[in-house]
Amino acid sequence: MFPSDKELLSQFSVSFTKEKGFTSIIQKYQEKLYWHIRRMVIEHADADDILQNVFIKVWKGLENFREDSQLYTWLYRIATNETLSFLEKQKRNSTMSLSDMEDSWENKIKADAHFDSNQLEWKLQLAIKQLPEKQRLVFNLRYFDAMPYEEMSKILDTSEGSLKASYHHAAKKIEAILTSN
Amino acid sequence: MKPQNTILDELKDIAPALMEVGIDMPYAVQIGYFEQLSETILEKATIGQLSTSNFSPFQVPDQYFSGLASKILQRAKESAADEISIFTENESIAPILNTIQKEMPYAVPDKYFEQLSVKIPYEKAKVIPMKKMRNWITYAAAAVFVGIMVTGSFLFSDKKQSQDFEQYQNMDVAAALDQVSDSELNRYIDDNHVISIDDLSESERASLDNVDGKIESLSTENLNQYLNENGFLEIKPENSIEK
Repeated sequence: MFPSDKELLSQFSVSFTKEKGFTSIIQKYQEKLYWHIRRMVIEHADADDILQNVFIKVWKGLENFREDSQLYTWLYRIATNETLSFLEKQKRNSTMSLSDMEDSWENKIKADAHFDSNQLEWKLQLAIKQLPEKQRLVFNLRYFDAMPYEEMSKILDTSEGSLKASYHHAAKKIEAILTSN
Repeated sequence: MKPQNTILDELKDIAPALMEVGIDMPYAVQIGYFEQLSETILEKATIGQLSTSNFSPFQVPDQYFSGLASKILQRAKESAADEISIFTENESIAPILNTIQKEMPYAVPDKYFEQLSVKIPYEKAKVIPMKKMRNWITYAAAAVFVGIMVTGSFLFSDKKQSQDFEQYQNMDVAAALDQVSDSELNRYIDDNHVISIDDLSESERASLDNVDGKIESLSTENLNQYLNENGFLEIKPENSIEK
């Protein structure tokens, strides 16, 4: 069981417990943030790179964290922005057409060591990858992280109504893909 | 004490979502607490503190127990409510989603999380020579002075400002949308075949009408007619916005 966020922030704010507090924050949130990132970028190596960058930003920015939101909301926000920046950079640096990029994502999913085309969980991953980026984010946060729309709104800086509509579109689309296969 | 199976059956009837919640206690206990407990009690018993007083070596924050039960119950209800809410949401939009396991199927290297560490970027402190720092302070002071002069002249200018436009700017569409219930929103999207702008390709988005341009080309009379019909305030010529 991990210390509360308040205790972790308190440890981080004192110089001789700063590293201990930081390590505890990593241990407490690493899995949640990792999977949030990996669901978007698919490959472990990319997710690992982004996660490292996220925690480096946390180290640099945590002393200025105003605590006007929850710590995990702030962490998720950094992770989301880093992930979207990574994906944008990939698109800019890529010479592939849009359809080739989509095939590339599909190949990355199928290249996973555990991939099994018969399992519904893998069909779901392939279906999610077909969603536009923003819808994919909303769907992942709601479906896998069971995030309330109120929290999601603070992370994605979008109104709750828009997020609900986005989830509606995403879920309908995924259902159509899964039932047609 | 009821057998575990009877309790699970009871829970299934009352709140099925709670069946997903484990029964392990989530509360933190100090490391080594149980290992040292017997020794601590024995020590106290030996010096007579346990038998003669209500002394407890463990500290608890003030007012801790008052309201504790209701706080825990509230949190348990909120957590269960979130799960039920997402389950119900999926049932109404795409029931197939409730039949799929939520565990991530992707492979992760062995012991990745146990061994994850982040290289902390320690930066060397910059050394600024004193002479350069004095110049920097002089330039900063000059910039602040110029900024104050420019801001003052702007604030005291006699440029007209429109008051009515603020009313339109202050209209919070997002907040109004948040008040719409989930069922109404879902029904509206389905009944009106609303598409998401995210689903449009770049070329499709570029071909969308430039609404701002069309509004600017309309006459004031036509705009006022529209606003009257829809219950908004008129645009008055003497309060028009100066760009």
